[in-house]
Amino acid sequence: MKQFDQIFREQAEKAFSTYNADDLAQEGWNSFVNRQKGRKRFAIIIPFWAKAASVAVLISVGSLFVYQTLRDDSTGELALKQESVSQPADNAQIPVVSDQTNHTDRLSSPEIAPSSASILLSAPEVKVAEVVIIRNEESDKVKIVTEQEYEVTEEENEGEVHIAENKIDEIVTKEIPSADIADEVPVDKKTSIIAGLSGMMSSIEDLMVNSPGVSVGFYVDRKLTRRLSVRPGLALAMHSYGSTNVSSGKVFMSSLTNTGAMTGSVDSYENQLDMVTLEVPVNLVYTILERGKSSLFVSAGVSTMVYLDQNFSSSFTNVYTEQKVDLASGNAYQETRTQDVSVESDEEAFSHVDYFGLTNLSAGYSLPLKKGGNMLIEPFVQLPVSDLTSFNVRIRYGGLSFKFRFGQESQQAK
Amino acid sequence: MSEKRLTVQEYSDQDLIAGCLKGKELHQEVLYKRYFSFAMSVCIRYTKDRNEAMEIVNDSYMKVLDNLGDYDSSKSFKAWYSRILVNTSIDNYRRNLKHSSSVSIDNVENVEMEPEIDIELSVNDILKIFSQLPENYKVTFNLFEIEGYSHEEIGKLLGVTTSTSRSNLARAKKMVRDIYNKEFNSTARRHEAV
Repeated sequence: MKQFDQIFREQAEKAFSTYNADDLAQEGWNSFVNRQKGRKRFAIIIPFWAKAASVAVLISVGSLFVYQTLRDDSTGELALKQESVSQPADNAQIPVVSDQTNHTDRLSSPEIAPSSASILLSAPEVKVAEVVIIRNEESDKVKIVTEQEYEVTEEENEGEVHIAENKIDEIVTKEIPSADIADEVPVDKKTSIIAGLSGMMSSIEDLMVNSPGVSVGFYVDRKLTRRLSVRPGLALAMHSYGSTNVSSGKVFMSSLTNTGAMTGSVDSYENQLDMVTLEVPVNLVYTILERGKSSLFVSAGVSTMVYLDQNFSSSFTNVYTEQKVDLASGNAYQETRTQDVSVESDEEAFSHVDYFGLTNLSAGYSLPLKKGGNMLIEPFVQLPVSDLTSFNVRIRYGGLSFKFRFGQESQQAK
Repeated sequence: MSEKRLTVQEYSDQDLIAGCLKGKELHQEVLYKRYFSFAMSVCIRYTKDRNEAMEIVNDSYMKVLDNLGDYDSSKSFKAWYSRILVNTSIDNYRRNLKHSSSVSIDNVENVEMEPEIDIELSVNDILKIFSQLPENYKVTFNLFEIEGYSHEEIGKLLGVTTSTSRSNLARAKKMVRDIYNKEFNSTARRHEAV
């Protein structure tokens, strides 16, 4: 005799296999159609937003193309306004710092001149140590960084050569982009919280930097339609950029001074820029494809950067040459001098804000997690809309972002 | 040539699916109605009443239309649709889990001997028995006994351990026996006595 469980199962299978609910079929279909009508309203909007997102991406790509085409190749070299005064001088003690208007003034301590600083070169037969003071026009924080010695190649009596003011028009800095965000829109909830960590590299003007940046942030994802959402956020990024040049060529920054008959060039340089930035991105995220619990998405938006700290330091080795004629012998000779210049500039927190200074573009993939939530993997690029940071430079960013969406109820796979 | 309203028998499943992929509402309606009774027979086992079952059927059919491109035409549409129906029913069960009531097994009349099924049970009879089971027991019983899921699969679906699934099934079977004996065996014996 069959057991109760087996018989009950067989009877249940038989009963349900012959279950007839056709009397409710039309009612069910009407209910389904009414629900579909609600969805179609969003279906009309979705193509519109998809087109808008596509246009935004195309405009961004086109802007990048135009930017690359029209950008001057020599923008990496910063122009300096220089004034020079040279006069014969006695053998001078070093180091000295003098004001432009009074070349004989000497400062006993490395104090900063009210509006500018100058550099004095001592006699060629003496090893000269230079103290360089350069002041950023917008910052009061300029200090002497170093003293360097240099040698002259020709033994000619050279007096003091007063070099007039050096002004630094631009100081290249970098700004931190934060990762863009984009992801899967939850079905059950309209709003979700996302936390992210990003690593990135950057390019300043035409120079590559040798240190990656990192940022962490929190974002709020708000669903507008089934596939489209808006994602504002707040991220804190730290960057430490350094660039070096071991031979003449494109320069990151020039500290050359006009020494009258002498011509100068930057032989080598080394720059370091450290920044801490608070980024406020606002992005639109569009889900292209959904496969079960995973999805593919694209994102576009803009970011506002608030700079919490900008510290720039740089050292240059300049070479000056001058053709001269020995009055006694009538022979022509070339005099060469080297000069080491160091610069340091530190900006105060919140001293500069770039509103919508970066354009964010990204595409990514969302993966479900077993314990709930989603992991988002998202490569991104950020392009400057205008000059960034207090030093007015254009910085491009590219990197990879890892984000975690909290608490989304995972969808059931079919 | 205008498209006339067709009877259910004039389209094959593949033709209907092809039409659904093109967004033809008529094809969607025919396919919906063709498998409506089947869908209801699956969903009614996991719900309290027909209205709730119909909502689950509609949710499932929406998923069918959204994912019809992923359907493998070499396999049975009925089996594919059945899996969607079960998963959607489980989703509904999990959403309503906090609102469900459970019946203590101590309140069920203990039956020492296994009852005999000597009448043919209708769907309503079976649903009447299911309605007296706790939700988790009912779902586990349906998934294992009728749908044919393993305890491992049930554990993944419901978010419980395999041992919990086994325990729930054992208790569900015991309750089914007890309820059947109380509802149907006593009725049959009263009729016999008369």
